[in-house]
Amino acid sequence: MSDNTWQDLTNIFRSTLDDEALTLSESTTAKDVSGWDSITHVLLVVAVEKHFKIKLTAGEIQKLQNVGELVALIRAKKSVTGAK
Amino acid sequence: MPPFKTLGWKNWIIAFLILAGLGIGIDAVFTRYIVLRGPNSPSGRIAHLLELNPNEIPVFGTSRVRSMDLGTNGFNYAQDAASFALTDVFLQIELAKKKTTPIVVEFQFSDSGTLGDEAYLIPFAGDPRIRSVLSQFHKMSWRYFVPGLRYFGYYDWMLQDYLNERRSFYRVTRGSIEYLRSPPFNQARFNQIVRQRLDADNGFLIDDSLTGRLIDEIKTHPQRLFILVATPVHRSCFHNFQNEDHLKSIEARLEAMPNVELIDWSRLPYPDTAFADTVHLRPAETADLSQKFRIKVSQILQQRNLPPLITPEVTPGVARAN
Amino acid sequence: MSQFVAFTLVTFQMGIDSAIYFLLLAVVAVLHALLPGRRRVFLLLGASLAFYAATSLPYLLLMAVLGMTNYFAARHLSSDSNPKSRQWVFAGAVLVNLCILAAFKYLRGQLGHLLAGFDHGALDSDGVAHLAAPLGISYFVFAMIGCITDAYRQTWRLQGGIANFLLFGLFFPQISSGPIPRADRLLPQLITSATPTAEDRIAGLRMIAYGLFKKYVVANRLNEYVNLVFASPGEATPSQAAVACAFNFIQLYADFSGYVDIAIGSARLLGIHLDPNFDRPFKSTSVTELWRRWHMTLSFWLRDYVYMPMLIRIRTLGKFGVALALVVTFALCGLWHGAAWTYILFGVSQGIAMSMEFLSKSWRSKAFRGIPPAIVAMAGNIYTIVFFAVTEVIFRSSDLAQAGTMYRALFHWNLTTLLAYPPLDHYFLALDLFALFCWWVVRRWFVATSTKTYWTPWFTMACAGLILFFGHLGAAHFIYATF
Repeated sequence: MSDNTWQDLTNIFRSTLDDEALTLSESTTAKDVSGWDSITHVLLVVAVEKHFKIKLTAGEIQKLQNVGELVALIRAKKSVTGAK
Repeated sequence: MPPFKTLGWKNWIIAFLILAGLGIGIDAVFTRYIVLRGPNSPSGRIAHLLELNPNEIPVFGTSRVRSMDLGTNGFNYAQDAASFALTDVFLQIELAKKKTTPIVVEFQFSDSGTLGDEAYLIPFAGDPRIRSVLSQFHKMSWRYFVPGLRYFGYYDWMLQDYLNERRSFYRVTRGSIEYLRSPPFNQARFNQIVRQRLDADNGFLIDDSLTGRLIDEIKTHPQRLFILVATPVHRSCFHNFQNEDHLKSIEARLEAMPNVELIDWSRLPYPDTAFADTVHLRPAETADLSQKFRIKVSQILQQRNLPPLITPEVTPGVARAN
Repeated sequence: MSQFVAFTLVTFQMGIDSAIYFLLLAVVAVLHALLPGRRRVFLLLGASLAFYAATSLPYLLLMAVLGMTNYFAARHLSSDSNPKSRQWVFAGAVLVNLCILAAFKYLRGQLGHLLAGFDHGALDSDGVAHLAAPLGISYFVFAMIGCITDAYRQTWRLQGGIANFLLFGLFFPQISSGPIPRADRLLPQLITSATPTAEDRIAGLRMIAYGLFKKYVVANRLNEYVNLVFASPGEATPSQAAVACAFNFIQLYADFSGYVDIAIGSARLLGIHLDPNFDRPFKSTSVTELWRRWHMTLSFWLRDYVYMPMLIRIRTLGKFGVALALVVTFALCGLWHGAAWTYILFGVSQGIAMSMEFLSKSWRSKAFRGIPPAIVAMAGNIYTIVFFAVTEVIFRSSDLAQAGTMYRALFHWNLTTLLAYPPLDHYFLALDLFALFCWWVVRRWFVATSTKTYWTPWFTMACAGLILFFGHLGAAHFIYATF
């Protein structure tokens, strides 16, 4: 699985949060990014779901702690749908 | 307890002692120069009451008789919004004195059920009679016995009274009497007050036990003449008057006593414009009433061959100016 | 049963600012230092039960039973049982909590009459209608629902025994009005029961002194003016109404943050760190930011347990879903304060403002591009403060009619009303302004000496002196203790 997840995710974050200079790392949390609050969190999830064509559960969304976990979750979901 | 050491006990104790010293010092200065400063502050009047004043004719009651001026040998002890229970304590203090002067007592139709502002009683909390009335109204506090702590929460009120008396912001003080300053008469506003009065319970609402106490005091002190006075109130106070007969019977009972003079002026026909609210007259009318009262009392004293009032001051002009 | 009613009528006897409370706190603080760590939880629980029992014994029983129910629910949810039973236990526990809250908060009148039915008229209907709510019931229930939900989501696992758990709910400094505790932060501290450090003790004393100062010198005093204007808003001039509006906001902040400072300070004396509830709300540059700085434990609670779950479920609605979720959440926030249209309208107005701010975000960043950020921030700050002060009028009013009259007074502008004299009473307005000046000085001093242990006794005694000579007895209880 060639991985442009990082690049795609960065683009989604940049456009949703309206910040062209934004960079992400594994341990980036909401606290590190200005404009990433509880409101935009959900908008980010919607954009991620749309882009990667996956569906996250309410529990999964609520438990997300940092960008690393989000990437892992996307990969896990994609590999499940890919296997089908 | 090693962690406590780092708190720096020494500084705490020094800071506390400074505060306590400041508290007690300010308490003493405040008591002397503000609270009891003269016979005109509410507390000062109580201090005055505790003295003998052999030739003085005292006036007791609420703010309604606050302006009943009897001249040089009269003294007004009325306390705002005070229940008869407090007036009764004042009466007891007065009646314990070996005196023969007449006593003026307000004849109230209803009782405020409060002590008014209990802060004025704080310097006298040590007096068992004052203490018992404070406890009766659940206003007694251990703080009242701790110098430096007893006026907590009242400093600004007492200072305001002091400043008011010096500058007459909302009351005009002359001798031991006071006139309320009131804004120009406003019929709409007055109608609103009257409407509230019409909705309220009207009647002779004093508890029988309180009336009984007054009658007992009159009976046990035949050497003193009791002049009972009911001040003018607005006619709305007689709307739906519940117990006219009860009032009549009590008035008859009082009038039958040899040492009672009852002056019921409650129904004097004053127009709306004479009233500040339904139970207080405006300053000019108050001044007139006060003068009328002085003449009435002089006549009573003359009829009963009692010493006359001494050189009544003529002050109503001042009140009228307001 | 009649005794039950009679008992429950007598609540709020021991306020957190009463001499008895501080006596209890002092005794507990000393015993806490003497006892070994393991026993401390029982000391604190005993003190909390005694504190609650002093307000109402039957309600203490109710709280204890509710607390134990939640304990067993949390234990079940923390174990790896099957998902179906977890779902049922979670739903059941939340429902029980909400029912108790609703019964005592919204149906108190009916409940009182029901109890009076057993009482054969020993109490008059008036007294029964005023059946008091159990002290801190809203805060307690929210803490419980929070930890049950965390356990269900498996973001937190129950630790410690039942004594720790009951103490978490009933901890005496926080029971009357928060801050709403989170199990993952408070419970471990209760289990460890560490000895407070010297820093804890000093910070605790400073916060208590500062909190009492805010309550007695600022809040109680401003209350006088605000009450006077709200009592007859029809007679107020625009300037009087505006002063009352501003004072109302400041008073609410001084009163509630003063209370919270005492609560946090008391806990700090015992080595326990409670969550902050205020973070300089007057610095907010938007209503959204304000609610992250004002009554923080409530707004974060609402965010985590109401807003987020709702938003996630309606996330496909996009931006309008966000706006909808905000309005509904804040309507519920209003309802939490009481079953009155004034509270609901207050909540809805906050939700609408936040939605507007959210929807206009990209538009605003384009429109304000050329303007220096400091000026944008200042304008935002003024807008936030004015908006909040104006909407707090609804919060303070006893009904919508009163709020309407206040607004008419506030915006009844013409030459005569605008030139009318603002003070209702020169003397008290002057004292109000002096109190605000004192607050400014004391606050600066509080911040400046926060790391200087040496200053603590002097700071504490200065606060005590200001309270003693300049304090106002005013409203006997903390405004937020009734919620």
